[in-house]
Amino acid sequence: MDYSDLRRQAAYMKKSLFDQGYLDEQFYQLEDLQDDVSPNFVEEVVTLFFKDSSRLLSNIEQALEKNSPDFQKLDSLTHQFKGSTSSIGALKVKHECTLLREYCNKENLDGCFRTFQKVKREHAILRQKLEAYFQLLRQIGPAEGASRPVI
Amino acid sequence: MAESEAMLPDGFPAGLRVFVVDEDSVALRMLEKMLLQCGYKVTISDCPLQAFELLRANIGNYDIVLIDVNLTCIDGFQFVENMSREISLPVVVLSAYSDFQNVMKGKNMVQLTILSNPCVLKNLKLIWKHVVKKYLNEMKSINESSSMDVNISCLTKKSKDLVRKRDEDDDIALKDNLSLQKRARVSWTQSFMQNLSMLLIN
Repeated sequence: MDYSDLRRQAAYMKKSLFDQGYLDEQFYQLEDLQDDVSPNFVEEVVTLFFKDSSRLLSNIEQALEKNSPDFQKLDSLTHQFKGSTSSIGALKVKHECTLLREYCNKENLDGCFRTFQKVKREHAILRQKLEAYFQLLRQIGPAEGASRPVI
Repeated sequence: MAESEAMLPDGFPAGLRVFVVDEDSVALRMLEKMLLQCGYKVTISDCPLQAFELLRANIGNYDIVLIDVNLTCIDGFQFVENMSREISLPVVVLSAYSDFQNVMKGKNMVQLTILSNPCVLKNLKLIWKHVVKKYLNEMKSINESSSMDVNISCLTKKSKDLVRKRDEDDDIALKDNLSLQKRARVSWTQSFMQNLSMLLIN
């Protein structure tokens, strides 16, 4: 198994995620927390994020589908969701959340619906990309994967 | 007293007992990890109301409270204000809003220290200063109660050294508080004394 090749792939994958604006510097903060005590910390936290945020997304969806939607509640849920995205540096998702909140404040239901679809899409795309990234890291192995691949 | 000659070990402020409250479990997990890496002891809670009860009942078990003010169930500003009034621990507030400080001032609330959330490690490293600052402030109001008296000139000197070495944060005017040269007799909370004694003995 050519680890240097895999490491290069992983580094490239990570660089793309940053270059294409999927992640921001906050993700580095997360990586910095990984250590010998918690060698899979990044993946654990990212998994936790997707678990929590999926729940929030379905709550938002339910709130949107009500006959007369409660925009304050929608805004509150979106705000929570956005907070989570900030923690791991999910930049594109966060950006769509900001837009969603703007539509909530304007009580523009159509705008909310459209933007919510974008939030869901970006959320799903990020999940796919990060899953692929972690899968690659796992192939490289714990000793290699535990440290940040050099870009 | 033997303690009068003792200095705080280089380990301080390791073992500082931090109580963290954040409704976002992702942020909470990261805060916990950051604080553990600082060498602090961490208790976490994602429910502010439960946290308040826990703190009220076990105040001796913690040195400082860190709380994210963005709460869903209740008004965050009000909650933090109530908590600071009832609980004598130093409180550091985390907020995603950069203008939180202005809002707080505008509402004439207790001046708290505010860090941004998400947090960076070096900001969390500095929270021990709030604990020292609070106790040094208590020094000024000398209280001749029946609780333990202690000679804290050693603490003063060591705190000065620590501040000189780690003084990155200009917001904290610790230097003003450390102008006391003379020995003072003050009373401390039982918990802090226990902690300090443990540190001094080691």
